[in-house]
Parts: sequence; C-alpha cells; structure tokens
Amino acid sequence: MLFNSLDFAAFLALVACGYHLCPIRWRRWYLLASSYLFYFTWSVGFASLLLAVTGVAFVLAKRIADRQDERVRRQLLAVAVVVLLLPLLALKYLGQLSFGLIQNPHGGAWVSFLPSGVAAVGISYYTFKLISYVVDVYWQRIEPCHEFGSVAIFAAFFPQILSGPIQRAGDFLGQIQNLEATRPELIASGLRLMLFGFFKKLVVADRLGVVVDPVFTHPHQWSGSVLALGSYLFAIQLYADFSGITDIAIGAGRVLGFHSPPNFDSPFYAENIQDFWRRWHMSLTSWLTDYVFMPLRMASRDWGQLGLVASLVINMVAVGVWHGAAWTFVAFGLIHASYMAVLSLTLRRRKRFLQQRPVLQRMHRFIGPLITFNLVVVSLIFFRAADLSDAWYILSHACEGMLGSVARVAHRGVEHGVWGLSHLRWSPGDVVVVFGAALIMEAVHLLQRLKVAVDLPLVRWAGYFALGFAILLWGESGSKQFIYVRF
Amino acid sequence: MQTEQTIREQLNQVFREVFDDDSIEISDEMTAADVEEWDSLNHINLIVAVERTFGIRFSTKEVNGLANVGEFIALISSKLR
Repeated sequence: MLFNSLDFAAFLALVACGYHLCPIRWRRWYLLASSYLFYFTWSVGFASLLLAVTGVAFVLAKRIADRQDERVRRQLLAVAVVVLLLPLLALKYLGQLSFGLIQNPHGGAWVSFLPSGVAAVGISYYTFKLISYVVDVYWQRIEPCHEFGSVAIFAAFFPQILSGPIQRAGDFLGQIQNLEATRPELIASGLRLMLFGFFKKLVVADRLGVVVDPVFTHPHQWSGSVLALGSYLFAIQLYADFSGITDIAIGAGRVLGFHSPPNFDSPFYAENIQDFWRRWHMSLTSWLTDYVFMPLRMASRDWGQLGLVASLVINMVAVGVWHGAAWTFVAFGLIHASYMAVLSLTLRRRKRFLQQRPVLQRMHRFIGPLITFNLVVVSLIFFRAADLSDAWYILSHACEGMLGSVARVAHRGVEHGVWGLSHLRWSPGDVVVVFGAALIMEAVHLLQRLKVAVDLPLVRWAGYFALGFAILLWGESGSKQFIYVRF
Repeated sequence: MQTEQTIREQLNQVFREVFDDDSIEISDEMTAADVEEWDSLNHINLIVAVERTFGIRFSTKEVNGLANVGEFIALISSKLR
C-alpha cells in the first residue's frame, strides 16, 4: 500500500478513528496490529522476518543490560549487530547484485530497486532502528524495554516503515509507554503536514519527474544544456519527493498522537557541505554519525588527519551504499567524502582567511549556499544516473552545455539559446505551474523554519484549499512510487 | 589530585583552543548546541585535546554517554582519582 494512494487514505482514516476510540490501555496493541496489517499489504512473508529481527533485538538488549562483564556485553552486542545486519545485507545488497543491477543497461539502478516485486520493504529503516535500540542499551543511554509489544511497534510503526524518519528508540518508546489522551490540535497539525507533503509529491516532484526521468533514462538523446537543466531539476525533485513523503509520515504519526524527528531543515540554504548534511536526511545522518562515524573516529583518533579522512570516507560511502548496491552510490559517497575532507582539513585556514576579510565574510553567507547547492547537484548526478558512464557523460556534457548556453545567449538571445526547452515536452503552462509550486513549497518551508503561525483562520483555510485544489488540478496523474521507498 | 576548579580552568582553556574562540566560558549546562563549531568533527578534536591535557583515555561508550559539560567534568574527575 503506497502513501500516495486512496487505499492508504482510507486505511489511515479507519485506523486513526479506531485508535482514538480505543481505551488508552489497548491502544498500543491496536497500533501493533494496525502496523502489521499495513506491512501484510506489502508482504506477509517478510512480516515474519520483521517480527523475528525484532525478537532478536528485544532478547539481546535485555541480555546485554543484565550482564556485568564488559567482555560478554560486547560479544552480545556484536552478535546482535551481525544478526540484525545479515537480512539487510542478504536481501538488499546480494539480491540487487544478483539481479544484475550494476550491469543493467536500461537504467537498472533506478528502476529495479525492487527486483523481486516488493521485497523486504522498509528493511533499511527498521534494521537501523533496531540496531540503535540495542547499541543505546549497550551504551546505557536507555534502559532495555521489558515489553516486547512496545519494541515491535517501534520497529513496525507503519507511518515510518516505508521511508523513515529513523526515530531513536528512547524517543519512541518513551511515547508508547506514556500514551496520552487524544489531542485534536496534534491531529490537525498532522493532517496539515500530510496535505503539504502530498502537494510536494504530486505537484512539484512528479511534475518535475516528467522532465527529469527521460533526461536521466536516455542522456545521450539530449543536448548538454538540457542535461544541465535535468540535473538541477532532479535535485529539486528529490527534495520535494523525499521531504514530501517525510511530511506524510510525520503527519500520519501525529494523527495517531506520535511525534517523529525532523528529516529536513532547508538543506539548499546550507552554507557548506557539513551544514548540508546537518539539514538533509537528518535522521540517517545523525544515526551514521552516532553509530559509525563517532566509533570510527574514536578508534582512529591517534592517526591524526589520516584517521579523520578514513573515517569520513567510510562514513560517507556508508551513506551512499545505504541507498543500494551500485557503484553510482559509492561514487556519491566518495564525492561527499572528498568535499567533507577538504572542508575539515582547511577549516582553520578558511576561518582565519575570512576573519581578516570582512567583506568576503559577508559575501560568503550568500555565495556559500550557492556553491554548496552546485556541489550537491554534481553529486546527485551520480546518485540518479543509471551507471557511472552515464553519470560522467551527463556531468561533462552538462558543463559544456552550460558554457555553450552562455555563449549562445550572448549570440542569439534568450529565446533560442538557453535551454532548448522546446525539445522537452513541457509547455509554458507546465513551467509556470511547477516553478510556482516549488516557490510555494519554499515559502511554506520558510514559514515553518521561522515558526511563523498564521493566526487568521480565513487565510489559513484559504491556504489549505489552495493546496488541495492545486493537488486536484495539477497533481501529476498516475503518481509514481516515492523515491525513498525503494531504499 | 586536581580539584574540580583546576579541572574546570584547564578544560576551559582546551575549549578555547579547540574551537579557536577566546571568549568561551564553559558551564555545567553547556552542550554542543551552545558552541557554534562544536560538531561531530570537532567533538573528537576536543576529546583528543582533553586526553592529552589530562593524560587520560576515554572509551566510545563514555564519550557517547555525555549529556553536557558538567558530566564531562565529572568523567574527567573520576578518571583522575
């Protein structure tokens, strides 16, 4: 069952009604049943895998907490992490490799993420959640949970199972063990967030996909300037798509009375790449920082700068391959590792250089986000392309195309020179709709970031109706799968 | 054995050097959110500098369990006892 389907709307409405009518003491069991019912719509077989790995995490976390001997605790932790990771590695990575993802000449990396149908959907998300639970118990950040049902809801919570956010156990278990009475204002804020999420997905992301998909599927058919346009638009499409499904997930959680962690914080305004990763897919980044980067850095802290670079490379490649077993994702990770390494190794020198030049320092606030956005766009070409040779073709021809466009504009004027939009099946009306929608998306993000509340009910409701009508009028028909559900 | 006051003063100096900011005044409630450049990269630089200054060694578990500077000072004190 997809989030962008009427089935899901009906399912959520029924589950939410039942949940809020249910006595509080039964709610967690009701939620557990609903979450597994949701998972059954994807795969009954893989639901048993979800149940099994939850059982492993539950039992081993308790054992770790019960033992005093550090050596035994560490051994139990290692067993838990290996057992939890094995299904993920076997189903996601070995499966993808054996299905020829890397060799697929027809854009396999993008279109065949679920080679055997639906596979173990959500496995990347629930595995990371359960690992964080066990490690946090080992680190004594949290107490082990003594009720299996609560850990099972944490792993299977249906609003988060398809695409996160990857919530930490302490945060979620605290909520499930202290269920509160229904709060209408939380339900309302959840519905608002879901409406905005659908707008981002259906009006911005899917409409951009009409242009982006053919550009990346058959890059050799397009001019360099169209490849450049497609690359920039993909960055916006991915952001709208992923932050859209995140809003729907967080909103659906709120409808059931649960708070989820944020996943995005205006990432395209980041001043540098480090800042970007503090604002993009935040729940994955903070997970990897805590459970991969920090332990690696601690282990390598006596190696000086080499230890820093090695930890960055491993961490960022892990970010890349978390998305799947493809060289394009490895390249995506390596590109970001190199950005981060350069930034980290030059931090002091850059800081002193700018401190001595106040004008440059002021300009940096505007130029920084611009440079960062372009660096991210370059990396996302590798993220999206079918294989490395396509990625390199797109990158090199896009650069040529952009330079060529500047020359053509100077020579022939804007109409014929810039992007050759006439080659794309995009009418001027489409352009107005999609860019207008993207601007509205950013305006709402800005209001959210500044925590501006619109107190006038008339204005608020006009906004909700406008978003609703925009979805009905301009939402891309035959909406596609959310990109991050594939991961 | 060093008193908590001397540990606090030495730690304050380490903070100023690591974050390249002479205006830093540490407090027990201070967290990473209070220092602009205190991110995961600089956190390790801070840990390494503290280890060198006090001649002690931390484990990943100890470092991950810290909630604020007050707990950091308590951890350093416990290692020096």
